Amino acid sequence: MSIKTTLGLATVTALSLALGVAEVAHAAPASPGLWSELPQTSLPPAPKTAAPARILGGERVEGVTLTSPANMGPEGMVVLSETPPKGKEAAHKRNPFGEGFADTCFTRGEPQGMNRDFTWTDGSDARMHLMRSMGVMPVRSEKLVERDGGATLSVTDMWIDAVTLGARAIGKRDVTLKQVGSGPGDIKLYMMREASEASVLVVFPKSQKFIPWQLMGEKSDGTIVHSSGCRHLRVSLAAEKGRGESVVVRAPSVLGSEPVDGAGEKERGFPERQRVRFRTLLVSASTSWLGKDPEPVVSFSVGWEGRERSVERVVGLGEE
Amino acid sequence: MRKHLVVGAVVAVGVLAAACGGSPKASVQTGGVGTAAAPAGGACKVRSIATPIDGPQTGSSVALVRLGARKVALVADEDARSIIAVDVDKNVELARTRLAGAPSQLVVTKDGRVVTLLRDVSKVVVLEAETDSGALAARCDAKAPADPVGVALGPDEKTALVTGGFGHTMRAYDAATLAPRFEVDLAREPRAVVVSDDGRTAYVSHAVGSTVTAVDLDARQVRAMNLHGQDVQEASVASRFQKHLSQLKAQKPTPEVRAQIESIEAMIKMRGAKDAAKERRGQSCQGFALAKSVRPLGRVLAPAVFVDPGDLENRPEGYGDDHTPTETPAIAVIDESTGRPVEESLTVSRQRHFKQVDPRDHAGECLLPRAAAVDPTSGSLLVTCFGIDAVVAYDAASITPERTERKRWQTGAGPTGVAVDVAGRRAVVWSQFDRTVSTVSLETVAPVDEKKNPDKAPQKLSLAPLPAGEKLPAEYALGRILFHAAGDGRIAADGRACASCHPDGRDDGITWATPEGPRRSIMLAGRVAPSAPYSWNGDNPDLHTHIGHTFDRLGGAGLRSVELDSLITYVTKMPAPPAFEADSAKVARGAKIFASKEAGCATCHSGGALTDGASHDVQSKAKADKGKSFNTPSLHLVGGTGPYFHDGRYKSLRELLRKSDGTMGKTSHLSEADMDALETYLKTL
Repeated sequence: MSIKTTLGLATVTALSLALGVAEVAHAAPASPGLWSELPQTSLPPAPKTAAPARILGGERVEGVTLTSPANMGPEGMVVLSETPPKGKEAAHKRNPFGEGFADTCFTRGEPQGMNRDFTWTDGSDARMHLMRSMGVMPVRSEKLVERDGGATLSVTDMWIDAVTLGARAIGKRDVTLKQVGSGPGDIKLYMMREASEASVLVVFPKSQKFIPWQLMGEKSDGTIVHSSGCRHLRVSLAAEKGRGESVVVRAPSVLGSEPVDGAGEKERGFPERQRVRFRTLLVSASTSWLGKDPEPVVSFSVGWEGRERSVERVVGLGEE
Repeated sequence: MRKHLVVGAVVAVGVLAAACGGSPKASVQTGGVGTAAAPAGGACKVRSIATPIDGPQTGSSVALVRLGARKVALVADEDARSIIAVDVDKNVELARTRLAGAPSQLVVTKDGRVVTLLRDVSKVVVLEAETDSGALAARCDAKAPADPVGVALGPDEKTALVTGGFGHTMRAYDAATLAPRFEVDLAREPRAVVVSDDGRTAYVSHAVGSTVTAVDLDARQVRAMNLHGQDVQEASVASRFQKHLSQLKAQKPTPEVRAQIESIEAMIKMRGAKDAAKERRGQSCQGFALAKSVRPLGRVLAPAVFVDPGDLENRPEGYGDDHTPTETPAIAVIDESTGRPVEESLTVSRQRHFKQVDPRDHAGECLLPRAAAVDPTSGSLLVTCFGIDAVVAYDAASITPERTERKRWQTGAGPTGVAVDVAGRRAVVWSQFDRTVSTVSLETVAPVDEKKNPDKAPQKLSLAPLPAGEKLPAEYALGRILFHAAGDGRIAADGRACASCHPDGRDDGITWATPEGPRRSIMLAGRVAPSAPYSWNGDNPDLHTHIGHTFDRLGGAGLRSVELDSLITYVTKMPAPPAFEADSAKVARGAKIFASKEAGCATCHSGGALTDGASHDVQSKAKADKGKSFNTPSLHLVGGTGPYFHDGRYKSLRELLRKSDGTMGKTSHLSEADMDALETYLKTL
């Protein structure tokens, strides 16, 4: 399936579950010195050591669950996801692919070079599908926690064994994020910085119950970054002297909904319907550090991509 | 990467031509229509009550000033050959000051003088406002470079810089007296000019030629900057190579790692090798505007359009490759500290999958950028665009501003200038084609839910209609709008406008892959009417047929006959650039050579149009050419239309004269002085 088709379907799928709260906000202009104001962190690189031969099946990492879907058979795929809330374990086991946004995103490490070093891949998934044949591999989980107007990214690196379903933590770090902007539909932009990189997080509202199946961003060097099923997409931009980097993220924004007058449908027992208004935002962020800049310049902006559209949905469908 | 290192000839002009130094004489009726002619011997500075508002010291077709208690927009109205004053708070027209020519740009000095350029008569004029009526009085004038189109002041305002479009020069004046200081030769069709904060460098955009020029104002030297787009996919691969290389270099240098490093370095070298074909497919034009970033400092923003004219060894169905977009808007970011465009700002994303999914969302790209200004409060770069008739706000601090559209506002037709009122949180846009002044609110330069918070529509003021004798003919006015109609499916399926390949009615300097083979765009202004038959093959007897074929190749559905007639009216009557001036003795000598039997130029380039209207085989068939005979082109304005021949094989007239010897006339017998005279004569045609 082409990316274009995926996006189209994703939007439709997403909107069938949409329940949005329209809110007007705006993005602030780039401000000199923003780089210095960004929380600084240092996330460890992907492991430089060879993967352990095996992780015992009983080993666990808090907050993540490895499930072997019953219909996949003993040699089939396993699913890595955030641990389901209490009372939902059985449902999760039946359908680990789940629905709705997840707060946690997973990124896999891939072996690179001659020394068995790993590097983190560009994409991230709320539910990571792993083949058993992949054995033991490093995985990073990033859980977004929004609280009291601020946000934290809880980053845990771990080894995952797709054969035994064991997981062993390598390290954990909680990173404070700075909100730098927002857009209609309560879409927020957070940022943090590492040594020579800025991290941009485009975050969807939790209340939206709205899954853009794939959040996609295109970096200025042509790299496509994506996150599937997650509430956020994190993109790293280089902040090195003499150059710059940017990303544009396509983010469908739900602007609100209004009841559809069904001409007595409710009385006749038909389900309640509503019309959901949405419009796609292009969220962009850039880092650059040119000759006259005392420090890297961080900027961002939000703009509409196209016209507003709307879809009808049945109230309650797909919501728990 | 091809280097355009042009060291321009520095021409000492001497102190002459400025008619300054006498007593002032106001000649404008206040509160209405007046005529401002500079009095002979008039002083350049007498008394002006005008103070510039947030002046960027860069010319535009609109400038904001305070006249007493009034905030006034001064508008360079080419059609009315006047400067019109508009009270922007009350949205009323105040006064019209007639000029001796059509003003292209104006800029207001800190001491209140209005410096304007009269494009058709090649003059620079200084005016002052004595009262708050909006009427201006001319103080002095001076000869400008041919076709003056851009003006800027240095930071200390001691120097005024004026670019001459067709004259491809920039002349520096003493801003106080208009005495010329020096002049430098530039590449083709310079337009906007801005000066660096330290006053040492002027940056000049070019409507054609994939170039921005940096002029060292102390050394009076010219350096052309290459403005070629790089396909993002190419950039991506290069970036991955670099990333992989850094990873390898961080590893323990085992023999295996060293071998990998060597191999990747070799690949990087190979990819970075000069590749003319790739570069040719990332040319740029439409460099009409420049703006200096305010936050951060040290960046010059250059709106342009990257052009992929296709593979010249193929014959596509239209103009350019059938499967990739031919025109992609861009905004180059020039780093003042290095004097070069930042590579990332030159990447071209032609990936279809990241474009809008629903074609009905197509908002119209800015394919004809014409003016730019920065709003420091919102950190936005405002660009006015012909065709879509809008002003678009981008993130001025982004390394790829074109990818960061924040908002757009509809303006009148043909927005040629924009000025920002920072304190008033608004921008004023002058639209020449329908003579309207639009004021857009900059309160919110971000998207809003328009159903819940309807955006304020720009406030528009239509200027008073011109008297019957001064009004543009309706057909011509309609034709001008159609000529610049971008995104109009009747003209081109991919949104190109006539002005895309013929900016300002000139040519884009580009050789396109076409169904007949490689073909240079041709200059239209001042050249079309008498030069039938049309096309390089000469197979279109009239313009109706020729334009019809052009629309077919562009995938355009075609215009109604009344519209086609209007377009033809505009194309045949658009103002021609002024001919070059040259030493008359040399011109006479060149004319004699041209007419001589030995040289044989006039055999084909004959008659008033300097063409015999016939096709000839001058042994210039290129690999992809279907035929081998080509229609003799008119030589009118030939000096400013290089590169030459149907496939652009000769970069300069001199190269053409030398290398076409024996196949198209004879020049080998000419001495250097004769050759020089012949070239000079050709430039005056």
